[in-house]
Amino acid sequence: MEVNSTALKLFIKECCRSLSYSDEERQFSFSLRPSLADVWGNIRDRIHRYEPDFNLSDFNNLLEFLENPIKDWVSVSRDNLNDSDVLNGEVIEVTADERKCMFLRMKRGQYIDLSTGIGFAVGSNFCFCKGARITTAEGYDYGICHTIALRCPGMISIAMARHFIGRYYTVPVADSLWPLYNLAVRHISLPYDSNPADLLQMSRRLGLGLFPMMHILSAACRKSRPI
Amino acid sequence: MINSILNPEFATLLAARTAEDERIFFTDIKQVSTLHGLDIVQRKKLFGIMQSGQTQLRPIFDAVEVASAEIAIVKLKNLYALYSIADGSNISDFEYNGFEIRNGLILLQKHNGGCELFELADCRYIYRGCDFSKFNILVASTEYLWAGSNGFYSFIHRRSGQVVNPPAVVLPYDTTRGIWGLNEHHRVVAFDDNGIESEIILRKSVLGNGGYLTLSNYTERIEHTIDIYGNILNF
Repeated sequence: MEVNSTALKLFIKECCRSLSYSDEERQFSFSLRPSLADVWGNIRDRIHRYEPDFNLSDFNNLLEFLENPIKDWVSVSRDNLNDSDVLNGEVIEVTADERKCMFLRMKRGQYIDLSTGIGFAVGSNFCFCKGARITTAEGYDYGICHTIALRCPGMISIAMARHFIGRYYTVPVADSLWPLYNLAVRHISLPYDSNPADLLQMSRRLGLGLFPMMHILSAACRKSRPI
Repeated sequence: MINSILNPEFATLLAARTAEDERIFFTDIKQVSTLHGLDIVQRKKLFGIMQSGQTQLRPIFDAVEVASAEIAIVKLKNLYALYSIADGSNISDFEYNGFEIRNGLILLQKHNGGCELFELADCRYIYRGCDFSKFNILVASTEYLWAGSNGFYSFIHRRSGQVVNPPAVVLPYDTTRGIWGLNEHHRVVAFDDNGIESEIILRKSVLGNGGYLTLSNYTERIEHTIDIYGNILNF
């Protein structure tokens, strides 16, 4: 969704709360403040300075993305992708044996399957190639790869990262993102003894933006779901 | 000294001034300033160059500026020209309204708003023409010089002078190597030497820098940090 950057920052500041965890829903989110109709009334004139045509319907659309920022992404197709050409935190979408899979690179040669929250290894010399089989070191066979794409974060998650995580991009992306995943798992098992702000701080230390962070937290939630 | 490069009007004027200078050779000549081992001298109201007491350029110009040990900028009737001290002749006609010397380059402004670029080290024009109204001459270490016109930018290879025209660059960046620019969709793009967008160059550069890259435009005093997709993060 395209919104003027200054207007977007104002929306985030006025509409979003910081990261929280719902034990009932077993998910992390940036929940929205109450009385959003009042919020819109209060900021409408300021917003119109940057986005003169922005209306209530646009505001409602935007709220969906603010509540779930990883919905804002763009797909970039690739014919092949070497593990060494992927950055930690990048999300790869593959279609294998007619099934859509999403993997997030956690470390050299190691990924998380975002639909199951389970990690796997393919080795640092692995290449995602159209027509090639994806088999993990753990022995799981995803099947023949038909399509490959990278999921690029949109402006909304970038703006929210700036607001909630800070200047994470001043450090290199860490060699391993497992510490964030492990912290999230610990938080899920002890939700009343943990502070979600710790996850934001760890993301900052790992040089991680909001888009990969939220995917990792979602994966941790999926892994922790009772069978 | 006076050669066929010059407009006949200027050639005639300089010939007359040369004759006059020869006639009044006994008049005192005073040193005005020294730069690059060359003395700018003045006789009556006109200026020239001497070196170690020897005349390198007769004092027949309205103004003289020494750009390097080999190149001077001479003024006649409110127009400037490039002059080779080594060759003893004009490199250009009197065709420039103004100039700026910076980082080993002379930026020469023409009356139609166009600019030309002359490199002092190799005594050569990097760019001649009137397609561009502004150049980046603030940074000496870039592989390419960017040149702008009407809000879009091209890139000139500093060594070869080859002009590369990547599509729709609205903000160029000053980089040691390669061609980088912000496109009209507000995304940073890397281009190859032919001006074609290259996701491979972008990805390799950002990966090699730990996942983020900071690019600057020193003329506009802008600094952008980007991710591996060219998204600007520090807005």
